[in-house]
Order: sequence, then C-alpha cells, then structure tokens
Amino acid sequence: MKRDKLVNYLLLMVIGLFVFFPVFWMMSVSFRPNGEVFGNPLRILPATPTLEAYQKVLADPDILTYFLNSYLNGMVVTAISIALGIMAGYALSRYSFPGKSLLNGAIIATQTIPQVTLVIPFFILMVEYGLYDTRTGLVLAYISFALPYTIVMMVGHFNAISPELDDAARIDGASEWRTLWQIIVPVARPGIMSAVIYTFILAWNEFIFATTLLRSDELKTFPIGIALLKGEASFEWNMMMAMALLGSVPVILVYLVGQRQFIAGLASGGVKG
Amino acid sequence: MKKALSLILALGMSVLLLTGCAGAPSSSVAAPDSEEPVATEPVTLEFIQWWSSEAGSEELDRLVAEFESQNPNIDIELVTLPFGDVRTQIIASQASKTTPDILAMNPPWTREFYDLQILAPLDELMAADPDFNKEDYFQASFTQIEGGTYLMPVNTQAFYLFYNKTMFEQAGLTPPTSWEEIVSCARQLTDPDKNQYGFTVTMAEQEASNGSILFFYPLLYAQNGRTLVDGQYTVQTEEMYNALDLLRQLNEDGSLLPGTTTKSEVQMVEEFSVGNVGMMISNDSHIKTVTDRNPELDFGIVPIPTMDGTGTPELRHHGWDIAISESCEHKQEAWEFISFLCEKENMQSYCNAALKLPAAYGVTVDYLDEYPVVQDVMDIVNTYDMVEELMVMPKASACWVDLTKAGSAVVQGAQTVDDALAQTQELWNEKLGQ
Repeated sequence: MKRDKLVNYLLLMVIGLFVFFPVFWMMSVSFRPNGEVFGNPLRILPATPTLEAYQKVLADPDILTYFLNSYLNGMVVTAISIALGIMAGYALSRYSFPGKSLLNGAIIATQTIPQVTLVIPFFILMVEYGLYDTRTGLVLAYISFALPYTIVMMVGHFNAISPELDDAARIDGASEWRTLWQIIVPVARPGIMSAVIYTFILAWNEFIFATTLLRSDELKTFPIGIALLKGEASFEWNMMMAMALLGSVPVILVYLVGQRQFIAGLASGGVKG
Repeated sequence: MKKALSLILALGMSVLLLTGCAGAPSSSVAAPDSEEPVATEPVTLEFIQWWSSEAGSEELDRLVAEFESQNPNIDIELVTLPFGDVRTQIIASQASKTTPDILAMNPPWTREFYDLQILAPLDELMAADPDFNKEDYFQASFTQIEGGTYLMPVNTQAFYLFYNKTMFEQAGLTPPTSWEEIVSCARQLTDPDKNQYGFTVTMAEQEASNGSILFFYPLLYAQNGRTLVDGQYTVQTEEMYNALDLLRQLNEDGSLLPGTTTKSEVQMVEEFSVGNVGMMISNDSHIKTVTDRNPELDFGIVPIPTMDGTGTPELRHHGWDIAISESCEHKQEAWEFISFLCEKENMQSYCNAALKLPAAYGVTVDYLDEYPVVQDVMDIVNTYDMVEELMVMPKASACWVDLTKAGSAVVQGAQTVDDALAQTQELWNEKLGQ
C-alpha cells in the first residue's frame, strides 16, 4: 500500500513538473532582462533578476486599460451567458414544445463551426449594425460563442436533476420562475460554476475577434496588449511573460472561487424521502 | 423573488453599461454611397499602423499633432495594431468597405493589396505636389505595378551580412569577400565543444515561414540575380541554385547553429546577439535589437559579397512604407499628411526616434554614437542599389513559403537542391498560372 502511494506521488510529481515547467519558465523569463532570455548556455534561473518588466507593465496606463477591459468584458459576458443559459437550458430540459429537437440540434451544431471562419462575417455584421469598434459588439460576439455551450451544459446538468424536485416545488405552490431559481439552480451549482469558469476564460483569453472587431486603444483587451509587444524586429519577452502571468491571476481566482462553490454544491441537499 | 429581481436589475445594468460604452461611429467609416464632402469641412483620416507599438508612439503622435495644427480641417486618427495583425485587419476591412484611409505598408503586401483593389495610385498626387520630388528618395519603393506607383517610403532597410568581430579577430579572420570565404570562415569559427557556430539561419516552415526572403533573396540579389525572368517568376536560375547550395554547404559542414528548421527570425537574431555565432544575414532594423540585448557584443555589417567577389552586389530592399486606400474619400488630404511625414526634416525626426534609416538621399540620423555600426549601414545604403521584387509579385507570401520549404528540405537532407527548386517551380507555376 505504501509503495503504491509512493509510486502515485512520484508519477504525480513527474506529471506536475511537466505541466508546471512552462509556467515556471514564464515566471523566470518575466524576472530577467531580455538579453538573458536566449542566453547560451540557457539558465533556468535569471543571472541578473530584475523587476523591470513588471515595473513597465504596471506603470503603463494603456496596459492597465487593457486589463480592465478584459475584466469588464469577461464579467459581462459571463453574467449574461449564464443567466440566459440557465433559462434556456431549463426550458430545453423540462418542457416539450414544437421544434425542440431542431432547436437543440441547431445549438449543438453551432459548436462545430470553427470560430476563425466567422471572423469576417462577424466583422461585416458589426459594421453593418454600427457595432464595429464598440464594447457592445465584442461582448455580443463573445456571447454568441459562449451561450450555446452554456445552454448545452445546463441542459445536461438539469437533465441529471430529478423532475420530482420540480414537482415537489410546484406542489408547495412555487411558480416556474421560483422553482428554477430557488430550487433547481442551487442544486445545479457545480455545473453552473463550470460554465462560469469556461465562459470567463473564453472572454478573457480571446484574441482574434478582439483584434478584428476593435480599433480604439481604449477598448483593447489584454491579449491584444501582449501581441503589441511582438514587434516586426523584436519581442519584449520579459514584458510579454509578465503580462501573461498577471493575466493568469483572474482566471486562477475564478477557479479558486469555483472550487469552493463546487464542493458546497456537492454537500447541499436534494430530493428527500 | 428578491434574488430574481436582483438578477433582472443586474442584467438591465449590464445592458445599459454596454450601450453606454458603445463607441461613436468613426467619421471615416463611410457608407458606400456617401458623397464627396466639401473640402472645408473637417476631415478625419484613419491611419492604421504597427509603428507606434514597435518604435514608440511619442514622435509619431507629435508629428500628427504638428500636422493637425498646420491643417486644422484634417484630423489624423492613429489605429495601432500588432505588426502581424495589420495586414489581416486591412483585408478584413476591405470586405466591409471600412478600409482605413492611410495604410502603413510592408512592401511584400503591395501586390496582394493591389490585386484586392485596396490601394490608390499616388502618381497624380505626387505630380500635383509642387514641393514633392520623387528623385529625393530611394527608388525601390517606387517600383510600379501596371504603370502605377502605390507606395511612399518612410524609412529604408536592407539586408546585410552581420558578423561577430570578436570571433573573427580571435580566429584571425577578416569579413568574407566571396561565398567561398563565407563557407571557410563559418567552418573555422565552428567549434561545437565550445558551443560556437559559424552561421545562424532560419528556415522554419511554421508561420511566418519567411526564411527564404531573409536568406535566399538577399543572396540572390548579391549575385545580381532575379526571380522575374522574361516575364515569368522562376527559382530555376543559376543564382537561386547557388543560394540554396550555400545553405547546403554550410549545413553539411556543421557550421549552422542547430535549430535551422524550427527557429523564427526573431530567435535567429536573439541567437546572434548572444555572441557565440559568427555570422547571420539580416536587415538593419535588427541592429538595435542586437545592441540592446548584448551591449558588449562587437559586431560589424558588410554588404553580402558577390559569389566570386567580383562585381557589385545589390541589396534586398525592405522598409516601412505608406499608402492611401482606394476607398479613401479624401485622397488629397491623405497625401498632404504623407507628404508632410516624408518631408526630409520630419523623416529625419521620425527615423531618429524610431531608430530607423531615412529613405531619402542626404538625410542623416543622430543616433550614431549610440549605434556606431549604423554609419557603415548608411555608407552602404547610399552606395549600393536596392532590389524589390516581392512588392510586385502576385501571391508573394505563398510563394516565399514554398521556397522556405525547399530550403528546409535541403537542410534536412530530404531533397537535393535541384529537386527542391524543381518542386518549388512547379508550385509557383500552379499558383501564378504561368
């Protein structure tokens, strides 16, 4: 038994090292001058550690704007997608209506279209409707990707919840709205948190639509900010890594928050008797 | 119920927030059937570029402000994107008729944009400008497409042979004056036990896959060769064979720093700056990168020699150029800005700030103390002719990828030089319909 544990721990350590090393390298590069990034021989740790990259990133008002934009876009997209996804998922899970199968199929089918093929059509649409180079346009584009996935996830989670719970709530006099938000949603919290995490990451990390649908500096997001450090002649490696690390912080926080909710959701009660 | 109301309120606030954050439509995004405005009305011109992110925005902002103060009816709106996204954005905006008015141009994009009807010819605007003299500028950017001039040069770059002076002196070598000397120097400078190599080259197939235009094209022009021969684009010339054969020789000698088929151009330059590589072929925009990365590195720049050391080599041209979009409704105003930006004094000022070389004769720079090797470059660029074929070549980027793959195949030993060139020629013929 002890040997099994040891083997498991060793295996996990090897896998962990493999997975974590790129992140470690990011940190290492972010704390070294650019001249050391391609040093020969390569050093794992910086020979002359420096905070210059972080100082430049945190002192640049444009870069702080990019972070704020990504935060704002991420939160708005997540809030709207989750709210709509919950309601749509519940309807598709619980109700029968004409065209339900077709609608379900259409929602799933949108997931099969590679996003990059939609760049130009979205661009044309946004210009046509006066949403080009606006936060609204970008957020709507993100919602169009996130919502189908959220709906599919919610349908799956709601299907796993016994309809007897709904019946029990209705017998007690709850309306459909109350049944959903006060009875079903708390039970489905783990699934909702998964959708929240996915949606936030999608909006936070997305680059190609942001760079295509936006032109104004004041609306740019942090992935564009990192790309701006990739010049024609050279890259600002340490600043790129510093920005990437700082950009990982919200995603890590969302995971940490989601973890607690997930565990709480598992411990919460369900149908009794 | 309270929670539901809170949710509705939150949603409503989100919608209001989004509405409030909607940007005002750009005044330069014109509906297709809008009429030409009266000249005295304020005009806003969008100028899309990557220059501000690469070279800092201060000087360009200053020049724009100065132009606007001299021309109160013209506003210049700078749109800054990463270099790799400017081309994509221009093409995407063409599809929706929202092409920016003024376009920062990488010369190899020119023919592609011409074929997509993105560019406006500048000839009439140039001819009508009494203060503009084409002869004042390096001519490579004025290479015509179907009888029209589409680019105005803002700065110039060319490709040279960079060499590590310290390594050369320690080995008792002098900068090569022929290709035989390049091979010999590279061989003598290579000592894998000391982690030293004679040459670094990129021939990676992943994007941008531009090894061919960084290595083969400069070598081709050093031999006064061309890809456009008798009206057809060809790689099956003696000069192109020699260029690929040089790569083969360097590779077989073990003189190439490992990673030729995986590293990018930026990585190649970073490797040279470390100081354990004898030579690389690159353009002068990398002088700053190499110097900033390793101020201790003593390196020099010479023209790539002709193959046998006789005759005069030509340089492969590159640079930052500027164009007007065909959909621009205020081309005269756009030209006024371009001509202002390219006035010798302003060109010098911008090149000083951006650490680039001016594209006009007799214009110098004031950063020579900081980067003394630039004096050598200025002497070369004012002496040798420059060649620019990529800007007029259809499907240039797709074709250079084919040639890079040929180079990669030669390095990996998968193909002989003859076979690689023959395969590339077939691909070019198919792409170009020749």
